[in-house]
This record gives sequence, C-alpha cells and structure tokens, in this order.
Amino acid sequence: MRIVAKARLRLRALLRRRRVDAELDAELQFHLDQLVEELMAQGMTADAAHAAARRRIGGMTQLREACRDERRLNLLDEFSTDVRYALRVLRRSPAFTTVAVLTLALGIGANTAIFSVVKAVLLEPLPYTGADRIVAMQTFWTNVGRPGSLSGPDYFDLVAQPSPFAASTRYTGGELAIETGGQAEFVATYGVDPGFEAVFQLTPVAGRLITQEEFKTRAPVALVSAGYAIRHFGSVERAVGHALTLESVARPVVGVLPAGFQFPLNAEVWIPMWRESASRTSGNYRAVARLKPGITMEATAAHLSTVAARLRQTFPSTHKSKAFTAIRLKDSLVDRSRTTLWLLMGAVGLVLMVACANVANLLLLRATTRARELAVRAALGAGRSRVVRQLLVENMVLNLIGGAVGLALAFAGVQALVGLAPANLPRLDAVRVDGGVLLFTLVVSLGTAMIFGLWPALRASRVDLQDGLKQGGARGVFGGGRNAWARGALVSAEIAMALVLTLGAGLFFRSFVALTAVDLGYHTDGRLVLTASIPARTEAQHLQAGVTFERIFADIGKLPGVRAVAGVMGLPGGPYGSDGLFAVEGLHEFTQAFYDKLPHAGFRLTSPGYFTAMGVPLVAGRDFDDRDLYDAEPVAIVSASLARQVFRGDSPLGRRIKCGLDREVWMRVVGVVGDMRNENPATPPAPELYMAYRQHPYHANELHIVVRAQTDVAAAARQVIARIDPGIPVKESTLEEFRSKSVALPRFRTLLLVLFAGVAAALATAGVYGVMSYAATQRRTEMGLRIALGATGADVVSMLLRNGAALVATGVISGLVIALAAGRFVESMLFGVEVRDATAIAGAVGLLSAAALTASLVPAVRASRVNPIAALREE
Amino acid sequence: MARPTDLVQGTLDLLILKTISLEPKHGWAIAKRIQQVSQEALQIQQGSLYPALHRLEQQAWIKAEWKPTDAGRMAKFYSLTAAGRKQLSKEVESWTRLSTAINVVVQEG
Repeated sequence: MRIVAKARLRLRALLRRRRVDAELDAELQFHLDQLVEELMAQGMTADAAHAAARRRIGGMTQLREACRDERRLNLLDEFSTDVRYALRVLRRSPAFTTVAVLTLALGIGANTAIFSVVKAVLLEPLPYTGADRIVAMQTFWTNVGRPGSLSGPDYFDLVAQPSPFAASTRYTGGELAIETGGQAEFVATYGVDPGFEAVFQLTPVAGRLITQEEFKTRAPVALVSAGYAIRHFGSVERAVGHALTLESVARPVVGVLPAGFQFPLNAEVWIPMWRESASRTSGNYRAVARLKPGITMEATAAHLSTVAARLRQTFPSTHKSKAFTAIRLKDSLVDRSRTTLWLLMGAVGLVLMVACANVANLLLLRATTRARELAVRAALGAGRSRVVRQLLVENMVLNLIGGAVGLALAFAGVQALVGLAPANLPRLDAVRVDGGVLLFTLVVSLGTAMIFGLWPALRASRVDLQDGLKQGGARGVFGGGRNAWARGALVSAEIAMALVLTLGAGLFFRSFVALTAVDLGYHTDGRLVLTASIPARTEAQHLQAGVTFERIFADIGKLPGVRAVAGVMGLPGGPYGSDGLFAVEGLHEFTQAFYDKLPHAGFRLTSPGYFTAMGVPLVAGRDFDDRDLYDAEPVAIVSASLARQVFRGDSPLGRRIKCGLDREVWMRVVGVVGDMRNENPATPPAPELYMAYRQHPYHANELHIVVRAQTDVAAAARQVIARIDPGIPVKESTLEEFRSKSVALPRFRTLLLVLFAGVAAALATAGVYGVMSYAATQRRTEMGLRIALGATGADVVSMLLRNGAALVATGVISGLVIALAAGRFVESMLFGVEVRDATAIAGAVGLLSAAALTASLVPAVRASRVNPIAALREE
Repeated sequence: MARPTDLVQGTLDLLILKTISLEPKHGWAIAKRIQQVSQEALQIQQGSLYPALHRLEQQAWIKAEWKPTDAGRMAKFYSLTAAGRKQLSKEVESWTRLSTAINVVVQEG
C-alpha cells in the first residue's frame, strides 16, 4: 500500500503543484508566527521579534527549495531532462542518428508488417460468437493417412443425439453460375443444413434467416452476403425479395448476412442443402459443428471414435480405414499457412536482430568517441547508474523514432503484403495496423532499446577518468579501442544471423525454382481457360448442354490462330475434380465386399482433343472422338501411372473399368496418356481415369474450356459463346494463372524470405564495413609507422584484411551450425531440395563472405594509402 | 547550558518519527518537543526539519493533515503511518546497536 500512497503523493505534487506550494508556504508561515510569538513572550517588541525570527529561519527560498527537492518530482523531472538531453545529443550527430533510425525502422517496420498479418490470420479469434467452440469435422483415412470429406450418412450418424454438438451443418458448393437481373456470373455458393444458422449464431442485417420449414422442404430461397447485396442491388435492404437464378431455379433472397461473415471462405450465397447424396462411400460434404457448453475437444474426439468403431462393425468393408476428426475451425482454416507465417515471423525477427546488432555496434563506437564527454560527466559527480540511465534514455528515444518511422514503413508494407499474399490465405481482409500492432511495435522498440542498449551503456559508463580525460583518448600505437572485441563479436553474430537467413532464402529459392521447373506433364504457355456453365436440371437439359458445348468448341476452333480447343471437368489446379475407387473387369468386383481391395484414381471428364490442347502425349490407343456419345459404348482413357500400377505391364487397351462417378457401367479403355501433375506441381502424378464428357452428362454442364492459340483470342472466344447463348456465364483465365495460383504460398514465402535475407545481408555487410573502417582509422598511426619502416601497401592490406576475415569466418561458421540445426523446421516446406543442399550452402556462404570481405577490403586499401608523414604528425 | 549538539547524520528522521509516534504534531511542536525532551541538548534547525518532514511524507512513513491547534490556528499535523511505525522500530533498533557499539569502544580502557 505504501507504493500507492507514494504514487498518489507524487502525482499530487506533480499535478497540483501550486496548491502544494501554497500549503508549504502556510506551513512555514505558521512556524514563523510561532517563533515570533515565543520571542515576544520573552519580551521582544513585535518588530524585533519578527526580525529575529527571520534571521533564525534563514533563507525562506532555500528552505522552500529544499522541501520541494524532497518531494522528488525529480525522478520525472530528471527523465524529461534526460529525454531533452538525448534529443540534443542525437541532433548533434545527424549522420549517426539517420543511419541508426533507418536501420531500426527497417527492422521494426518489417516486424510490424509481418506481425499484423500473423495477428489477423493466426492470433485473432474468428469473428463469430463463441468461435472457439466451433469445430470442423472430417473423415480421416487411416490407411493412407489423409483427411477426406464426409459422406452424408456418416455425417448424420456423427451428429445424431446424444452427441457433443449443440448444432451442426454440412456444406457443399463452390463457384456456381448464378443469374441476377439477366446477368450470369460465377458466385461462391454453398448449400447448408438447418444447423448452419445456429452454428454461427447468425443474425441477418436485412430480411430474415431461412426457416426450418424451408430447410425441410428444400424451398428455393437464398441468403446473400452484404457485399453481394450491395454490389447487385445497391443496398442490403433492397436485396430482399429479389431473385437469383441457380441451375434454372429462381430463388428469392430472403435475408442478408452481416458484412464480416465469410464462411466458407469467400462465400456469398447460401441456400438449403440441394445436393443430397445417400452414398456412404463417397465423400460429398464438409461439416462444421458447435460444441455444447462444457464439452471438451477430448470428449468430442472420443465420441467420434465411438461412432467410427460402430460404423466399422456395421460396414466392415467400406469403413475399415475410416476415422473421423474434429479440429477447431480456426485451426482448420489456418493450418496450411501457419508454418509459413511463423517462418516469416522468425525471419523478420532475425532481420531485426541484425539491425539492432548494427545499432548496438554504432553505440559502442560512439561510446568510444564519447568517452571524454562521459568522463567529464563522471568527474562532475554523475554516478554510474546516472550515466547508464542517460544512455538508456538515449537509446529509447532513438528506438522510438526508429519505431515511428518503421510504423510508416509498415503501413506501406502491409498493403504490399496483402497484395502479394496468396488469395486463399484466410482473413486477409482483416489485416491492418491496429492498436494491438501498435503495442507490439512499442514493445519491440523499447525492448530492443533495453536489450541492445544496456550492454553498450554499461560498457560506456565504465569510464576510466584518467584515460578518458586525456587528450586523444584511446588512440595509442596499438589502438582499436577497448570495445574492439565486443564490436567484433557483434559483427560476427550479425554475419551468423544473415547467413542463416541467406541460406534459408537460398533453399526456398532453389525449392521454388524446382517447383516451377518440374515437368507438369502438360504445357501452360499460350493456353487460355474459359470457365463456362450451362444451366441444366433434367436429363434432356444435361444432354443438350453437351450439344451446346460441342458447338462452342467447334466455333472457337474456327477463330484465326486457334490450334486446339477442348473442354474438361477437372483441370489441374482447378476447383472441379473428383476421385474414388474403381474396378477392372476380371481383376475386381465393384461391390461393397471388394471396397478395401479396389484401386483409387482421380476422375476427370474430357472432350475430344483435350490432351492435344494440353500438350499431353497419347502413349497408346486413341483419344476420345465425336462418336463417344451417351448411347455409344462407354469408353475411358487411363494415365500411364494407372496403367503401370493396375495392369502391371499388360496393355490396358480393350479392358473394361467401372467406377462410381455416376453411371455404374463398364467403360472400355481405348487409350493411355502421359502422366500429369493434376493435384498441384509439388505432388507427384497420381493414377487418373479420364472419361468422355458426353457419356457423363450429369457432371459435364460446367466445364473449363482450354483454348490453345497463338494470339489472344479471349475476347473473340467470349463473343462466340455469347452468340450461341448470352445466358452462359463465362470466367476468363489462363492455364498459367491456374498453375501460378497453386504455387502461390511457396512463391509468397520465397519472395519475402529472399527480401529479408537481402536486407539482413546488406545490414551485416554495413556492420562489417563500419567496424573495419573504424579499426583502420584507429590504427592509422600504426600503419603510418609500419609504412615508414618499410612495410608495403600489400602488407598493410593483408594485415587488416586478416582481422576482417577472422570476423567473417567466425560468423559464417556459427551461422552454418545454427542453420543446419534449424533446418528440420523448414524441411516440410521444401520441394526437390535437401536442407543440406550444397548449392544453397555454397551460394549463401560465398555471397555473404564476398560481400563482407569486400566491405573490409575498402577500408584496408584506404589505410594502405596513408601518407606516413601525415599519419605520424597527427599524434 | 551546553552548546547544542550537532545531530549525527540520519538521526533526525529517527527523532521525528519517535516524537510523533505518540500523537500527531505540527513542525513547530516537533522541534520544541525534541528540544524539551533532550533538555535543550538537541536544537532542530528549521532548515533541516521541514525538508526532513517532506522527505518522510514522500516515503509514506508519515502523513500530514491540516487541523486547528489549541489556539485555533490551522496547522499541518504529522502522524505516523503503519509503514512509518515499522520504520521507526527498525531505526530504533539500528540506533541502539550503533550507540551500544560506540559506547563499548569509547568506554574501553
């Protein structure tokens, strides 16, 4: 409690200075009056008593001052004096201040920018009520160790009460063609269950939610996002009542969800679940649920495994390797980007350390040049702690200025980061420099000021009066200053950290190059991709869609410059793709009992000419042609790896395959094509089963049209489609964009790492230069003497360079040790390159050593040109 | 009357704390009281009394209150806080130790 009382008194003395002073006057006056009274009682006259009392008390002003001193506003007063003094000192050496502030600004700014991304994406809770109780549920295939979607019946078994879930919903959908006011476009649309609104505890900003009755009857209604409402109808209120057309069905908008609500990522339209599948074996849905109050994740996991065990008993063949997982929704969203973001945070932390080490080095240098000033202060009675405090305040002021400039950099940096970041990084729109980020910057600024400033301050304050006051200070014959080894150690540490970063950046760069250089199995150059969707509901409509597509392909093919055109459901890096089990006639039976023995493949539907358009070689047999229609014999083409894995050297041609995509019919294998990296460039090609799109019309009314052309035919091709049917929504892209999107995350981290490594290497090089040129200046006299005694310029250079080389070597070796030890943290993010990649190591070591040695060569050469007469006369 | 003794460094705080430990007193009364009890041996100079009072107040060992005196004038009365009471016993103890030690040395031989 004493501390509170003390604080209150000090605050009072500070804030109510006049009142406190008045009280002091009154108190002293009282004393004076008492004294006068006493003297008069002893028989003095009033005047004499007054005079005597004044004499006895002495100087009233001094007394008042003495009392005021005791009140110790001093600590604060002294602090503000320190700050003013620091500002003066910093202003007096503008070169030092500018370099230090910019260095710090770079380090702090980069940290602030990355932190604002980390905070928004990883640290902040999702913007839903009780978001930490929302979990995402998945199937987990124990045989292949991979997660998968849920089947409808499995989902209902998992959430049937009693269960840990207060509410739950499935969702399925994606970019679907939606028509509003005569205009069709692709909009992220999801079908959801009645539990959807309760899971996220939604309140509409206009209109109402979908009622339970509407869910039950699958009523054609829709909810839209605030963004969608404003874009299409002008305001959220006006959206209610308007109709959207989805798959030929008009759906009135009944309500608008709040602006921040974005689940699933980027969703804009929600409708009652409209694609029901009762299949237990195909995973069609993803699901989220809200846990009941008090239910733990462990209890949830236990429930899921109980259900899984029950299903395993009931359906031994299909559910043998099926488990279910529930993880917090937040974790499921940021899982992929988490390691990347922490990696970047670590990298940027290293940059800050290098920057701070550089500034600490400058401070040490200054301590040497300021030795006289500090010695004078010490001689005048400043205690060591007083000097340390002064120096620390200087650092804090310096770092705060650096932090402020860094903040300005961060504002710009955050914009750039958001622009660079992969579009599928969740919650990117929430990234901003806010109060939390400001606090982070403040803590980092002051923290680094204390950590990196304390040591130089302690060293500087250990003033040897004799030495410090002597003219000339530390410049002896073997000068270099008493902080020489400390500065050397700092520079070595800088080089070590810069090496870690450079090596890391090198690895990621090599990995990215490998990723872009990998043989995809297809070509992306000069390939336009048009995504088009033809509304269809009935079988007739679906068959008609195929006819329309055929016309579109034919007409686009007639455009000048077009070399090939084809359609596909399941483009590499595209959103539509399917996969599952299949059976080969004579090898397997396509029945439940066989499920765990059936091979697995990706399912893709293509039009004739797809492989030509993609540049994929036909290994054997033929491509699909225009006779492969719905009524004709079903046909299929297999990829080389499927042929290898399943037919083991036998020719697959003429054999028959069956899968559960839609029609369970035997399909005759008519061709074998080369492997493609359909999943993404980093994943090796998997077995693929290609089917003729006209034979599977239910999955083929929404296609990617690949156009291989020598010129840009995008506009012309869109016109062709519009001429055939203006109601077909078309989205334009290129195959290169699809590929690029699939490597967006590696590109993002590689780019930033290279940038940070560059900054760190530049700072470390500057650090080496600073230390070496200082050492060279300090040893001018010595060098002059040596030259006068017959040493050549080369001798001097090699002598100085040897010192530099020792620092660099120490730094490089310790950096390598650290980097190799830390290597396993990044191993999982690398593609096609080992952590101990010789090229990357040699490159990083070579680059950094070369830069650092050059930085020490310049001052060495300068020192070797010294005029011995001039150098010796300076002494 | 002997010449008033210079106070041993740091003992003024002890004297003040002790003097107001029984009842709150204003500065004048504290000085008078010390003078009186020490039989005029200790003269407290205003120049050191008031800064000392303010120092002790800032340390939160004593607290001040404006109250009327017996004569009806307003004066600043100081009294001990709980922390001050602890400090007093500490200072008494260390004073006793010191003075005993000095006595032993002085009276030896």
